[in-house]
Amino acid sequence: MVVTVTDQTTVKESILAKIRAVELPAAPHPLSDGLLADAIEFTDSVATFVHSAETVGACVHQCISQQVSEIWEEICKTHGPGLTAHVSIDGLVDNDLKEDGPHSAAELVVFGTSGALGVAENGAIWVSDEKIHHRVSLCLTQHLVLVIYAKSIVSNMHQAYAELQNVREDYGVFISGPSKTADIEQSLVIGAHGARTLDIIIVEE
Amino acid sequence: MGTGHPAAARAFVDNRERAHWHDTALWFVREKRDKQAASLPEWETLRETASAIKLHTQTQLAEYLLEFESEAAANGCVVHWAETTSELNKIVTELLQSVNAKDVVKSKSMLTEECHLNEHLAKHGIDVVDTDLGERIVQMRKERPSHIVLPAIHTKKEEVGELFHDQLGTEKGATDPQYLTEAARQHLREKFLNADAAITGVNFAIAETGGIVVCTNEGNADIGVSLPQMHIACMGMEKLIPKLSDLSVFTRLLARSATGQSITTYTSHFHKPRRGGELHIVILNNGRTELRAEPEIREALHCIRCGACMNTCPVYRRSGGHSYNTTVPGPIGSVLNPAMDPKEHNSLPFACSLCGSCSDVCPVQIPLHHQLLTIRHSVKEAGGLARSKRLAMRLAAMVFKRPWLYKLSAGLGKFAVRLTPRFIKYSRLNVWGKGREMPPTPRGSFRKWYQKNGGNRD
Amino acid sequence: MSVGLFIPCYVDQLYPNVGIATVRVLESLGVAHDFPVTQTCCGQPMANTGCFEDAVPLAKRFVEIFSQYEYVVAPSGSCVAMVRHHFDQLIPDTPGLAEVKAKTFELCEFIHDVVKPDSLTVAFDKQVGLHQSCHGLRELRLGTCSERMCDGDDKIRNVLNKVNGIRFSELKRSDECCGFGGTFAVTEDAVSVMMGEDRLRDHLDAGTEVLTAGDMSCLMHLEGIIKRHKYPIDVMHVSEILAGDL
Repeated sequence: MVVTVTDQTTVKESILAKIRAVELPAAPHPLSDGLLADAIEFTDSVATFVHSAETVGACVHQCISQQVSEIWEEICKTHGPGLTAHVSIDGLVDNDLKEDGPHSAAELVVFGTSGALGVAENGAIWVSDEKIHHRVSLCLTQHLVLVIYAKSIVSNMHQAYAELQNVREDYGVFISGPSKTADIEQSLVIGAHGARTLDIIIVEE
Repeated sequence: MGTGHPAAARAFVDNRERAHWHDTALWFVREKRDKQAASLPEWETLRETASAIKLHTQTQLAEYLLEFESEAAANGCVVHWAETTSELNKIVTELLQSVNAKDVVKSKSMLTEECHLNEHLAKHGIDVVDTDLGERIVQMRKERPSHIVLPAIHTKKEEVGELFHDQLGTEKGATDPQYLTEAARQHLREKFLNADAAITGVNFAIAETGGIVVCTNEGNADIGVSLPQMHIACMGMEKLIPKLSDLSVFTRLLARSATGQSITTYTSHFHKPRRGGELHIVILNNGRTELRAEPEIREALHCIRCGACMNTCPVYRRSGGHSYNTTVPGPIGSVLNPAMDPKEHNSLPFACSLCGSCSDVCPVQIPLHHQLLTIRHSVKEAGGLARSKRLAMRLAAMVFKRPWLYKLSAGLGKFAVRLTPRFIKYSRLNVWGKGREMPPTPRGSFRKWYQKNGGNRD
Repeated sequence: MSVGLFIPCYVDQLYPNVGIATVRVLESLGVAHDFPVTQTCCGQPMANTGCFEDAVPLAKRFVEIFSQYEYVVAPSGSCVAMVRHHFDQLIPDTPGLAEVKAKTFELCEFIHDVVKPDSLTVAFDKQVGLHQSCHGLRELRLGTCSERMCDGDDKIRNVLNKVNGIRFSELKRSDECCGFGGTFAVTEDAVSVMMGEDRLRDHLDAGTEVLTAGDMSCLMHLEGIIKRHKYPIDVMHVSEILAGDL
């Protein structure tokens, strides 16, 4: 490697030695099972999710599984014409990018995939790159579509991480709404570097 | 000794209209934070829990660092260690050179600012483009960021419009944020697509899984690291948290505290490099072990860099981040920087009215206003306090130890002030008198009255 | 109950009326009082300048002087906060410190928590702008600050609410700092004055006729600005409102 192993071992050991030289009074981890008691829970987490997602600028569609492909076509028509791709959406045959290099995703106008779960308190959806050829498709695309099952929506992040506890994807991301910035005089602008819009399809089974 | 905060603050306040504008903009962010906090009945419990997790992590820091390194290595990442900022810069430079990287994109990382990484890489012929819009704006203006979350909060849209007209060819006089952001999107998209490598910071590093988490609203980190082959993530060792499930606490607190959003648009968890790529994680010390050794100060290492203390600080809002002359300004900066170098940053702990608002908004409950007081003592011990001030306090203490002397000097002092004509009383030497009338100088005193009239009466 | 009066140095010398009003209020509530003449200062100015060592002897004196009383009451949140929250750092393990800390109160806090009167006989007909002094609010927790999401009593307001006819201004920023901050007022005078002017603008817009607070230091700074600009606002310490015409 670029920095010789011995150098690195010395630096690492010296840092660890400095840490070990100072013993701190014991302080146990506050959460024994990783869950926060009395974290907010919603009676209708789907409705709350829809509200949260719309607040952050997503466009939400609720349907049954047979309607997914129709809605997908509608969305592509709205944002098209141009290159579209989708992967891992029930009811649609995979049509992911074929090219080897991730730079091919730059041409994407609409990209769609499924999320494993949704979080009602903030409208976030967990997406991993497990089935996606180029993870950058999720944010280089001009418009993003995420599909989740209504039953996968949880109330809060504690429940979400409990679901994800054993999952070790290469890359996973909570996406909440389309990309945005308020860096110019605190004026909110939707569509910064990532997707300009986010369409969420919530499927009731 | 560094240039002081008071002089810079005075210049900022002198443009009263602009100072008000800056103050209003940041107060607005504080109010958004309040709304979010109020929406969660468990808000204060979350803060206590976050504080306890960070405290616990500190007690077993060495073990967690080793666990993190081992898990990350098992995931195919390479972990590097840097004692100083120059070591980090050297490691990053060599990594970039190993892939012949000339054009690099970087998402927001206060740590790389701490290291002055961009300048170092430029010396080696490597060009770094900051891709967060606010960071890009200050980079184009050849300035340092003035806020750790809202780097360009001090600039007006007219100024951004002019800047983009000059450097990006946008229409002259354009100020619409939508239009200007679109221009930045196109400009930076090109940079992303042509980058040879990407550098990010780290919001949280998970010991249990060896993963790192980066939070953005713009998606610039995700795009940046997913195109070129090399991703270098730079982190302070204090970013470590024990378990994946701990993220639930911190992701619920971070954006709410920082910008008043319930979560950032992207909360990205990187465990492995992208297919065919490399992921390097550089862990920096740079005095953090020394801070950890100080019982009064070590909680400052819990900081999750949300900026809430800056948004609420009445002094920061009215003096701007640049007046601190540090990478991290505001209340947390006024603890961390003087803790490392009390003489260089001797004015910072005094750029504070000790109001305590910072401590009460801090999502991890750092007792900032108590730490600022402790740091004042450190500054004095290091010789960072003006001799006149030390002498004045020594004298005052002597007077106060002797009631007869206290009564005498107070009486004489008031007598002298009563006799002094206005033009002398309010001369340029009277700093109090610049903006205020002097307090009254009554002939009597409470103790005199009590001796005469006090005691219990019917 | 009997109280040792802890009158801050600048109140003693510059604002004796605040001390006098404090005595009147306590008497009206049937509280016996004494003023130990050897007191001078709690050491806050020295500690706040980082000169801890210069504050140490003053802190020790304080504990010695006030240990004999059942309660210690001061018309000042910041001085009481110094005793209860910062003496530990200055004079740790000092015998008698824990006891003195436990019995030292700010005036309204004492009335609210210890005396607990059902009502007061005083009336006040001007609109009151209550400035929440920071040390009282965020150190002594005399009220719930806007930063924290929790319930609690606003002790100063609750006590003032017993004054007949009192009404309060609605401010845009309910508890922002006035900008005094001790030596901050001089070392960072530009920001300090701007902070004070901004607070007063809020009060003027809200129709405040009388500005009040638990700390005379805040009021000293704000009154200085009021007088310089000739704003139509009077200034009274809470003890003076509570004392009424007594």
